[in-house]
Amino acid sequence: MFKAIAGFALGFILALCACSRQKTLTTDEIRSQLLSAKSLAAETEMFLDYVRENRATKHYAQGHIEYLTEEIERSREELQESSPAQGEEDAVRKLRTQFDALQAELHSIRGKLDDEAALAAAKEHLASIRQALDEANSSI
Amino acid sequence: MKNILGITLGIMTALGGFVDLGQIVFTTQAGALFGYQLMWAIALGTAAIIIYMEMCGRVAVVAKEPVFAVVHTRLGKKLGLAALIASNLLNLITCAAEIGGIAILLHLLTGWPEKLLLVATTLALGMMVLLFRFQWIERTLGLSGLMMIVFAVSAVTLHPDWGQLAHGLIPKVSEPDTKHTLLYWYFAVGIFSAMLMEYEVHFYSSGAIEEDWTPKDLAENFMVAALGSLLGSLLTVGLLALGVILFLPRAIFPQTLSTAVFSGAFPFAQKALIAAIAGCLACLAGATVETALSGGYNVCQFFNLKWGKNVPPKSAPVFTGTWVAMFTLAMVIALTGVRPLQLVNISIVFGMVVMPFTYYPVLRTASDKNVMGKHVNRKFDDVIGGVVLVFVTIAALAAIPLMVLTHSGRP
Repeated sequence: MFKAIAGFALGFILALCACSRQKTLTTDEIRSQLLSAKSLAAETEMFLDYVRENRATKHYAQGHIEYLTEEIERSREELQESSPAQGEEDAVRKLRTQFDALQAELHSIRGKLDDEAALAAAKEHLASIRQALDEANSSI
Repeated sequence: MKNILGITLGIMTALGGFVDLGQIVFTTQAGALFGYQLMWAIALGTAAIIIYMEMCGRVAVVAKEPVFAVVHTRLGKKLGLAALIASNLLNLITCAAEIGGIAILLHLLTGWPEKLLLVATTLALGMMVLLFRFQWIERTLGLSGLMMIVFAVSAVTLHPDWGQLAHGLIPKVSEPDTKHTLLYWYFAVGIFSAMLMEYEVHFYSSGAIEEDWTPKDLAENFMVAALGSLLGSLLTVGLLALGVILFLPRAIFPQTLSTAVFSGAFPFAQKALIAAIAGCLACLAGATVETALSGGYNVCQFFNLKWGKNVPPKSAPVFTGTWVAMFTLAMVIALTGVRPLQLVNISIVFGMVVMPFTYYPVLRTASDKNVMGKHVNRKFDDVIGGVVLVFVTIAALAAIPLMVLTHSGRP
């Protein structure tokens, strides 16, 4: 019985290790981070339209932006704690720059969710971040 | 009327069981990544849970043996105890994830601090379990979970491609590379696992005894298991369709609960968003109560101690102490700040690993004429149950390697 429990616990720990990020980012992992950043930018754009159409409640809009920001910060931290594989330094540098821009954009709109002009401008910035991420992706 | 209200056990079990935090996010993600290709996993999971939920209810009613009494008898003391420890650990992790999810939803609804809401939620649900009779817990949470229908209505309003949806019922792997193939199977196993989570049958079989079902209620048992599961399955299809329609074309991979929630109200105005949040809240609250109570049921049934929500708490001290401890520990885990989605990912994968140790003893008991008498499985039940068990075992063996290889389903 103890072997069974120990095996289960070992599997648990292995799974937790698998969830944690590796220190050296492979090309595949960089691509995964790029996709994640692009997804977060696209989602924020979509959500800003939803807010502009007055379909989100005030608390929901504020809360959802907070959760998106947290997600971006988490990815950004992961990226900062890792080093790129040889030959991928440029792609990672571009990715970090876009994560910073994404984070700054979300921080700036947090208090302006009822400001139509600010939301429109933020949408444009997000579209350009997404485009930059696309370019970074094609350069890998 | 009694029959109609009786269905609420099935509704609460299914909504709290497989339309929980994990399923809400997991299925939306699956739709966003693979379109309707994983419809077959939902169909397979639905058939499997109906078969085993009915079997667990029947065994509980006829043999007066709920799931963990059966596990003890069939697996023996040592292996049974290992299954008990693993199952309750998973119940605890799931409970913590669901409480964390409720705090997120309440924060989205009120804007109040998440940690305060976390403590308040635990206290409110704990009081509900303490003060309400079993039937009222299931009716309150089961019926309020019906607000989740807004997700299905949203999906239909957004005009899903019904032909593609039907095509998805046929499993086929046509992914461009190994990475996507592994991801495809990870999500297939995840959806299947989330629909068959063990706590559903722990709760359902114990609920049948709590409600004093007799062999006369066996027809109702099938109806309750089937209708509850079909409703849960319909909502799961709605979540998948929303992922396909809203997120796939925009290359969005939903990573937060709040994203999945707003998809449920996307075509509508603010009231629908509130209904979507309220529906999710009811489902997550159902899952929290199911996992906490299952903790108590499992321990007492395994050691043959007195249990029951409808007996005075002092007469069943181990049962009461265990569910209170489950709530308290889950709250402490959630307060550490660990992400609910990370917890639920772990519970779905490890739940799959432990699953054969729950379903195999149930199948053995339901097939045993000495125990079940004239209510023993028909040949057909045995064959279907056996086939499902083979799928469960294959998925159990594949779950951890897939989790490691896909970095927990990261595209």
